[in-house]
Parts: sequence; C-alpha cells; structure tokens
Amino acid sequence: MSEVLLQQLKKHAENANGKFTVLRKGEVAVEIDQGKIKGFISNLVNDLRVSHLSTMTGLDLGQNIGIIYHFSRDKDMIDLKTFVPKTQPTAVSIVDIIPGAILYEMEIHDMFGANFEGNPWMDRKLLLPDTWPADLPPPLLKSSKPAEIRKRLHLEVESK
Amino acid sequence: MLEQIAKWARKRSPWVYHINASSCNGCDIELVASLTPRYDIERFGAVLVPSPRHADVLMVTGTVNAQTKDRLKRVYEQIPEPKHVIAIGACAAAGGVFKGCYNVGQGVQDVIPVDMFIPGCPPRPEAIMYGVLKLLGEVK
Repeated sequence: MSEVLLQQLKKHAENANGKFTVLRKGEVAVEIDQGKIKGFISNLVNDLRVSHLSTMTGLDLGQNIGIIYHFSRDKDMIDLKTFVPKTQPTAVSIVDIIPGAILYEMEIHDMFGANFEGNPWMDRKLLLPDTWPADLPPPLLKSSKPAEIRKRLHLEVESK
Repeated sequence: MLEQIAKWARKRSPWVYHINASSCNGCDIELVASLTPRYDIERFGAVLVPSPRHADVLMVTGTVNAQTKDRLKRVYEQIPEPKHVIAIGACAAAGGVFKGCYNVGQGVQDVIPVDMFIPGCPPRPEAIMYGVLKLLGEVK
C-alpha cells in the first residue's frame, strides 16, 4: 500500500472517529460507527479512488451483528468494520454510492437479519427458499438450530 | 408381441433427462463427460433429452433442498411410465458434505424412489456409465 493512501486513510478514519489498524502489509482495517459509514465510503470512492467493493461479510458477535465491507485497490485491501445491535438491526444501505452492494446487503439480510435502510430489495429473498417461514430466525445466527429449521422446511424424514 | 418390441427398444435406447437439484456442478460436468465423445454413452443408445416428458431415465445430481424438493417431485411426475431414477454423487445419495446444514435434506430417495445410486464426489464418467448399463441390465 502506498504511503500516500495510508496517510489519507488514517486522516479520514480520524475525522470519522474510527479505529485504524494495519493488519499486515497491504491490508488495513477501520472500525467505524454505523452513522458515519456512508460518509466514509463516499470519501473512499470519490476522493481516494478506492471504488471496488470486493465483498461484504456478516458476523454474529453475540450482542451485535458485525458487517465488514472489503474494499480493494490493486493488491491492497481495506476492511471497514461496523456493528448493529441485534435488538434493533437497522443498518445504512450504500446502494446509492455502490449499486453492486445490493446483493451483498440482501445476503446479509437473509443470513443475519440486518435490515439495510435504503436498499429497495429488502422485502425479497436472495438465498433462502421461497417457502421459508417468516417467523424462523435467520439461519447463520448462532442461536438458530439447523435440525429445527429442517423440520419446519419439511426436509427431515421421520424415522420408521 | 408389441410389448416385447417396446421393451427391447427401451432397453437399447434409454432416453435420459438430467436434473440438477442444487448440485455444485461437479457431478454435472462428469455426466457431460460421459455423454460426450471421449466416453460416449450414446454408443448404448442413451440420449440426453430436453424434456422430462420424453425421458425414460431421470438422472439427479446434487443435494435436495427446500427450493428444489417440490420441483424434483414435479419433474418426476411428468416422466411417463415405466421410469427409472439414478442418483449421481454423494450429495444425491445422502446429502454429501452438506448433510446437517439447515437447508439440506437426506438425499433423493426421501422425495422420489431411486433405482440406482452412483457414489463418488464426483463419480468418474466410467462409474456413471457402469451405473447406467447396470440399470439397463435390470430393465426387463
């Protein structure tokens, strides 16, 4: 990662009260508040020319749902971490800055139950089956039980 | 007499319909390899047909999940009698490496009756051919 980009990232992270860490050569992580994520990504895309969102990761962290945005430029990775509480899992959508994020956000919505405000497809399913019962918890939360879900989806066969 | 001719014809020309019940494509590629000139299962009269209504044999690859379960059943019901089902690969037989996931069943035999299992992850084209020929020997 070039020294210029590193310094600029550091400056932007400080402006947004983010926690800046260098994970290894060419990969940095910025931990940032949910409210400031949109401004930070806007800066990243428009000022620093880091516009390729490689993927997004969801995490079950107990009290919170973690959302990580993985940006890349050439060989460098920039990981933006943010959290939303499980009791009110409302996150900010970035589809108006990066349209391709729509599918990643739908995936995290399917698997972890985070609602992305501003994403027009939050009412649809991406990976879950059409017959998914609405009252079941999202499947990748650690509290969900696979055997119970299989039973509800009529995939479990009663032993004879 | 006519029935005997039909049986003879069926045995020498089993038309195959392939359905992917959420496979990873590994088994599908091996199935295509067994159909194409290198292994060439068409020597034995097996032709891949585009509609289940034309088929005698249904080949299923992949784990059966909540999304594909009802569709698999519907395709099976469209095949005219007599019909046979071959489950290709570990996933179709028992769920494979995905067994125990929240969205995955225990294999094809829970949804439709299966005549032949071909194990492997994925099975080699030779194994698929052996399975089909073995099934043909059973067609009486």
